[in-house]
Amino acid sequence: MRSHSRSGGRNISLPARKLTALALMGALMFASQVAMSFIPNVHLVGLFIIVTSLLFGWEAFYSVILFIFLEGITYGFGLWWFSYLYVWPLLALAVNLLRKNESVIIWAIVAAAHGLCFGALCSIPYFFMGGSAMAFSYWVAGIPFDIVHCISNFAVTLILLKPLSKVIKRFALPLNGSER
Amino acid sequence: MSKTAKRNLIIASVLIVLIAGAIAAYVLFSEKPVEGQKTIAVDVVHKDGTTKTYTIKTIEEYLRGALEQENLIKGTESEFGLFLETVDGETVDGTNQEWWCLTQDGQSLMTGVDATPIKDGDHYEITFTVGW
Repeated sequence: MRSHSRSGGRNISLPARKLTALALMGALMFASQVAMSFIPNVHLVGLFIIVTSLLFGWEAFYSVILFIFLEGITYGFGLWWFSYLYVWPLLALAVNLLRKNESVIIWAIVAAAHGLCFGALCSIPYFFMGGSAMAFSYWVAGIPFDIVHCISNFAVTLILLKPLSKVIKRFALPLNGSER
Repeated sequence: MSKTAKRNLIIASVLIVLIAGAIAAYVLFSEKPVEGQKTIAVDVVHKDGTTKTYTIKTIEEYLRGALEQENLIKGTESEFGLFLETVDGETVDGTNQEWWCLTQDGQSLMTGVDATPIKDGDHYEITFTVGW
């Protein structure tokens, strides 16, 4: 069954079930981040973004945007938050562009590359605040964290991508070809 | 070797090169701790705007050690090291978006107290700040 809201006769909404699933994925990204925040730079957010993008395509951006706003509401809208506005959507963009790929190893490498580049991407606001020296020193200071991030993203994606996709496909997807 | 295996190998090699580059950048450009006796100055700017200056003689290599040697700081351990809560007897209230801002000669530091190496003559400020 598909439910739609209408505005002037024009269908403007996602099917309700898909919308719920996307909201759930955004909430899962956030909950997993909070639950694992005691382990430095080890998280499931990247994995959830990859799974959501693989299952829902470009609509995964709804979940990513929800996650980013939940982060801001919880931890405050600091400078770091503005970097989240492009750092996480960038991963969803990369997955959507490479979506034809079916190799788990490639997705693990994509997650690892995202973790490795995380500090460099987050240093961009510092470039506008204090110039290249500030951005560079921010990036260099965080390299050990980026390497941990890279390795953990690789391992987590390699191990959990298939089982997580299977579970989410079973419980969250409409199982209706017309809705994908 | 199949086309797919070749492509995977190339992508994996690029990642390994990127990791190696990051490690090299860290080894070459990160600030290194200095051994031996050193004297640093720390200004603590309190909520009421008053400033207390501490001159610390220490053999510690990182700022955290020097500040703890003088019992100047307390906090909670976080994923990025010690999160400062109490400095010079004054405690911030996170629910009011209060926090301690760490700077060196007025410039924001990219590292916390744990990862900031100190050298003789360094000057730091720890300022009571409101708002994220």
